[in-house]
Amino acid sequence: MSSYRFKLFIKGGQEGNQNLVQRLNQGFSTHLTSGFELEVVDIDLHPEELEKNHVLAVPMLIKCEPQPLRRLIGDFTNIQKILISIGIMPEQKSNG
Amino acid sequence: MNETIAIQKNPTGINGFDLIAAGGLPEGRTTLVCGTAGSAKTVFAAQFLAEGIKKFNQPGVFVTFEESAEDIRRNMQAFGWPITTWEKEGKWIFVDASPPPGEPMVVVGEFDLGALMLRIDHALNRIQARRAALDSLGAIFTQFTDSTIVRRDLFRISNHLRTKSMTTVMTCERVEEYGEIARYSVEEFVADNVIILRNVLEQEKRRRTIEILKFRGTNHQKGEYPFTITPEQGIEVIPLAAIELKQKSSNFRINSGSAELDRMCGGGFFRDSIILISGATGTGKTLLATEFLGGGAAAGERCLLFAFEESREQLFRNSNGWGVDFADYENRGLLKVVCTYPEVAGMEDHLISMKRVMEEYKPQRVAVDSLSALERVTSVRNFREFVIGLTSFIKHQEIAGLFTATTPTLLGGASVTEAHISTITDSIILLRYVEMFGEMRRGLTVLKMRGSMHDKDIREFTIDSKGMHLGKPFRQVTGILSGHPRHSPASEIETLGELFKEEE
Repeated sequence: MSSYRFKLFIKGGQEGNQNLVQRLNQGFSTHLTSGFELEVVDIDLHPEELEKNHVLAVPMLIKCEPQPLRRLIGDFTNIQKILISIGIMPEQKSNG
Repeated sequence: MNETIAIQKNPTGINGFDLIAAGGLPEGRTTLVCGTAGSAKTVFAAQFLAEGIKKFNQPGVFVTFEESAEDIRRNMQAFGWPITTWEKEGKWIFVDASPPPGEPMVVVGEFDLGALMLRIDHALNRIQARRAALDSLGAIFTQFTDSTIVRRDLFRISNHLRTKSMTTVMTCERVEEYGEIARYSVEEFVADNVIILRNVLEQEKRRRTIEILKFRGTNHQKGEYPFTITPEQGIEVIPLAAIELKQKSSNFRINSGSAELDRMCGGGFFRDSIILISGATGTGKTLLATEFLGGGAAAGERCLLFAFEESREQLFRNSNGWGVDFADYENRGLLKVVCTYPEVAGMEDHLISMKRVMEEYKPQRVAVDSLSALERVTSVRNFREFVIGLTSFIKHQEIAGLFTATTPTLLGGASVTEAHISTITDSIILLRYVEMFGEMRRGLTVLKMRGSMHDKDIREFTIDSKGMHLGKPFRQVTGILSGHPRHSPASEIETLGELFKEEE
């Protein structure tokens, strides 16, 4: 019953932001059939969110749910790698 | 920014530091503070903010990369800085950039530290900060593997802090005490100003020092200065060489506790002078110190004794034996006796705690019995710094100080202590054993009495239940001070006297 919840922190007005969001949405919807939620936070508009979430670098993706929390930073050009490192995509056929 | 304007200093408020920094840290600039593990970098950074709030009402932002904000709040409580209260009052703000608990961060592709920059900026604006501390840069390099990006963004952050005219302290690790300035070569891109904290093992004792390596475009004292960390004050730098010789001196005389000695000194000691009593063990140094304190207390002056050799009980019993009632004076608040083992603390800590006692008690006379006891437990350089620090402090208080020093040989001889401090002392009194006709007697002479005439005789010195008594000069003996007393017949002395007789 895993409902996934993500937070993506980006700096507004930067090139590639749109692509990034698109890429993540695409990747998640193909692999997370049980549904997911992706919240995009512009750090310029919500500086208070940074302190709460320990954000240092952007872009940063936090998998808030299910636990455990995972943090990723980078421009996520390699969507496969993200999915593997947050345990969504099986590590090459090791488990179901 | 107008570069032609001279760089101002922002006083840190850290005790002693502003003296060696010729006013403080360069205002509106970044200063890098480097040191090995355990060299008190975090304390320095936190104290810089704490003193800013306490003394100058300058709010500060603390960016922590290594310890969590919670850890720092707790650790710094030991120094009595109410960080939590200051946070509520909007004077102190944490930017917690320490690694969050849980799994380490995964890096997938390019990133930048824009979020950190934004957090710092946000914090600075929120409390109108004047000071910032970043502790420690090394930890952010370990959080992110790509050091090129970290380096570039730290440079940006440092630039940003500069455009906001923030006086900033950044700390960074060093690998060895004497070697490259800092890890990751951060000094090359973040700071015009570099301070090095050291924590060196020297003769089985830890010795902390602080050195200002460079302040670009502004002056400072050079070289290493010892410092210590106390629960009351945090870091306290001991600015020995930076102490100015500007003590006032007066012609006001005080009694030495012995009318006979007063006469020998031309009317007593000067009020703000340092007197050194040197002699072999058992020649009566403690007695002279006791008389000195007793004389002060009897005249209604507040007296203080730092004893490093004898216990309270011994001192009180001895003083009674010499007719000085320490217990009575203490009850009347005219005397304070502080007994300490020399081994319990390092030299810097002894100095700081002695200063503190003097500041609290505000004595008019201070005696230290003996300096030699302290000399035994430290290195020569450390001891010398201690003595200079102590004498200059005493002189600044405009009180009389009497130190005793033990000579290693029974007859004649000079102590190392003497060699270190004889030039700083105003008066030197020597106590010597004199062997005469199969009997040990004691001799006393006033070797030096700055600014006054004094008796040049070597007088016989006896001790009874009323204290000390000065008798006649040893007229028929020569070579007492060199340790080879030789009896000369009266006729020879007369002949000599004739030789040097001035013509009329």
